[in-house]
Amino acid sequence: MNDFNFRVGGAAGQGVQTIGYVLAKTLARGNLSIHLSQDYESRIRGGHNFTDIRVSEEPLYGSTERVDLLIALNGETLERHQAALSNKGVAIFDAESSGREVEKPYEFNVPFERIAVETAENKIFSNTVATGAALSLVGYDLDFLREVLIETFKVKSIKVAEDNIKAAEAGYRYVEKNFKGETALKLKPVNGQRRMLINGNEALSLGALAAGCKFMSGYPMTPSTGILQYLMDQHIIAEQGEDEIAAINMAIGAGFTGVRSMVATSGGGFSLMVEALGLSAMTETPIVIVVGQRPGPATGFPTRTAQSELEFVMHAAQGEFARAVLAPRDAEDVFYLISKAFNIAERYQIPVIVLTDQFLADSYWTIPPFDFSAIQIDRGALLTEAEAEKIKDYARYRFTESGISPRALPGYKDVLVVADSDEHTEQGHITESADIRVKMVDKRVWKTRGLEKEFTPISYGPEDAKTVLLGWGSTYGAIREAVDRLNQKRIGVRMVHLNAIWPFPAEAVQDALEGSEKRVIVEGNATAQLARVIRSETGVEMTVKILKYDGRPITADYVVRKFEEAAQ
Amino acid sequence: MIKKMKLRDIAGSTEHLTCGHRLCTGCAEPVIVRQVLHAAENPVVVANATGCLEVATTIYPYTAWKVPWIHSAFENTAATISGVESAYRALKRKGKIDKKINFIAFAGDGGTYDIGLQSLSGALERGHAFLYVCLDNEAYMNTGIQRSSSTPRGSWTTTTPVGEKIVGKPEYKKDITEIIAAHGIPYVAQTAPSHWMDLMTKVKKALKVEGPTFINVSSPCPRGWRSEPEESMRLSRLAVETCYWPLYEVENGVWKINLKPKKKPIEEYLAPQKRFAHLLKPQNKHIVEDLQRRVDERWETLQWKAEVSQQRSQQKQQQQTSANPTSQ
Repeated sequence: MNDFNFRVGGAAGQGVQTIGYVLAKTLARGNLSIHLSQDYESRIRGGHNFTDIRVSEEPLYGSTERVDLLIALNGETLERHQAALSNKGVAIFDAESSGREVEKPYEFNVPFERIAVETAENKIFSNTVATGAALSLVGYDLDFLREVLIETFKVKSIKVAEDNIKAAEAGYRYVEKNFKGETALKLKPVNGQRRMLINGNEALSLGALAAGCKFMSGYPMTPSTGILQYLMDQHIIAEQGEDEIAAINMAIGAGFTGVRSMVATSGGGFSLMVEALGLSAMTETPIVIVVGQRPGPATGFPTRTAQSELEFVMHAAQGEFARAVLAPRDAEDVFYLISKAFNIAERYQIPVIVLTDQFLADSYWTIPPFDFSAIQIDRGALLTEAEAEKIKDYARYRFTESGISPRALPGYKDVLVVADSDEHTEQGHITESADIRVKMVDKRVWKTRGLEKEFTPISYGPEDAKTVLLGWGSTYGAIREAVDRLNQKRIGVRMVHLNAIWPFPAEAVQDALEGSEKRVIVEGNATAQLARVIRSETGVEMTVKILKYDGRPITADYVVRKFEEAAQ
Repeated sequence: MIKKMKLRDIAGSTEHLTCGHRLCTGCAEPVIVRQVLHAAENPVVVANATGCLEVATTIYPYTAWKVPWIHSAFENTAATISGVESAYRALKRKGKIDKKINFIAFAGDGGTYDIGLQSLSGALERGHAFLYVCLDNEAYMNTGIQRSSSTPRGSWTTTTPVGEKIVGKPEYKKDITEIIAAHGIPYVAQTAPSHWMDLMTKVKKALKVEGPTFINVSSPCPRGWRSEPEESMRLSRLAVETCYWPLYEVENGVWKINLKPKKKPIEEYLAPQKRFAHLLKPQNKHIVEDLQRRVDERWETLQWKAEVSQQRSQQKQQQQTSANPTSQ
């Protein structure tokens, strides 16, 4: 069966995320493509959380709203999600613990709790019973699950791993015995290349390591905390500050002394970093700032997703200066894009902002192993000590044609590196000169000229299509799939998608939109921020807006639905 | 003098933080908050920093609070309560309000030791009349157990992983109670929920003061400390009995130790908490020894401070009495 969606739902604390991850890993072992997305509340316990595990033999790029197998760890899950069940969709739940009887033909009662207590003597194994039962319903090989359970739980203890296996087997057998042949669902392993199951934060962290990032600082803030946690465990310096102001200033300090440095935060934390963003620009200190978007303002929806910080990061901080804004598409893209971010930061000696979001940070994709040979490290005009010594009267902010000054590092012999947040001379000393001021502003504003030529929008779909769906960042998968589905319905559409937004690649976007009659912007915000940027940079108007700002990710289902509504 | 509370009085007084909140089983925070609010004799207004207490007690359409309550952001509870207290003073001056109201701020260690320190320090310096209660569970539990500057040395958190080279958090715990005491405010204390009488007496004392006051409370967290929920009060007691968390107060510059336990070894406090599990391995013995040494040193210093400051205060009193005998 191709393209199948599991949904696991329950209260926080019931192990929804664990089942989701174990299921995804088990299915990925059979070389199936996976997309896992997480919907959780800002609650320590209770509430309602769910994880979607979408499976296909073909590559998957995003999530779906349709559910084929609902694993309901409580009664609420059943009520909330049964409307999303597909025609052949089924639900499993525990009638005993949820206090609800089987009411519909597609509901299967599996006593998760009782089986857990009988086999592993503890109801905490209920979620593993459910995992076994779900895999049994689709007839998937139990051996993969055993393997994954051992790997996942042996860190706790062998006993915990074994109890989980017992619970999974019991759930599996219960379904075999009671419901064999009652569903038409079937999932089986396929031949193919084994791929990694990885989420956006992990891929970003690995990308940073591959790019030679040596210093990372942060302050816990969903959805970027995972990056800090991941890098803490690696052989680089990762520091947690007392707030975001400390975090970014530490990273600027590290960048100033010559290492590649990065911070990761969300919109709220970035608000605190804004002053230092200007410091990075004024002192021409390279830094990479990851902003994992979530719905604001203020605390907003702490655990949900949005694309609402584009204009904020483009304009943040007082004064005028060059910066770059990148917006990765998915886990594979972010790995490569983050090394590009470091290169741009060093080549142009500017702050580079990488806009991710909760959907990208927390979602898992199955992707081929990373190609490390594709990672080029370009440190731009960074001088070695020997090179710097040869320069007579070295000046950190030397005026050059490109606006980029050769960069020596503090501590080099016979070279004085002076940086200043005040307006400064070429030597870095404070000045009140009007002439120097104008030249310095020009230098800081225009030094990225030409960088936009490196940013090419991705085009996908039939080239002659007159209708274009345009988006940026993590909506890539949803729009791409929407293009496929609309073309299957004989509606000619193509996609133009940006993963690098500033400096704006105006010519390339104009070229990509050439010949289009209907231009549909797809964004995760209320005001069509990219559409505004496109209009101001190219004069091209988007004719239709598909926007979503309810905190939930944009899916292909949503794009297709809204597209069809707009066409009527 | 503060009248000692009796259990009977507490049983008879209204609960201002009711049941139905979603804090974890075994979390000490609601226990502490209830003790604080039971000790308050006047109506109170509560300001709450972002954290477990805030998210778990106010899930709309429910609230566990039966007092006026305000949440602003993470780093500025002290600033928020400053504003609220200023408004109260203005209303009082204009004669629009006459009753006595107490202002209490609750924040965790992240919101106190780290991001909120600047705002707290400012509010203390400006001299607003409020009680600031720090619920110190020694890490950012709400966002998934990241280290704070309150996390003790050697502790595991998700941002101080246990590896071969670096075993948990390398740095020592910041001593915020001392830092607050250095502001020279009228009343600063440290207490624990296991010693409820001590805690409630301190709250009563603090609320009688016209000016800023601060109480730091050790708050066991089964999720972050990796301990059993039913162990929380025992852990709170062990923190006190090992002198890891001494019960003391600083009243107008005079230090007083409220309980001098027969000091137990620090291992007894560490052992039931899996966040310290790795410390009990032979190769990490030196860290435990170091923690013990630090506890011993600080306990000694504390005793010394208490002795010296009490002596000095007595001397001053005697001098005053001899200089001005009629004032008696």
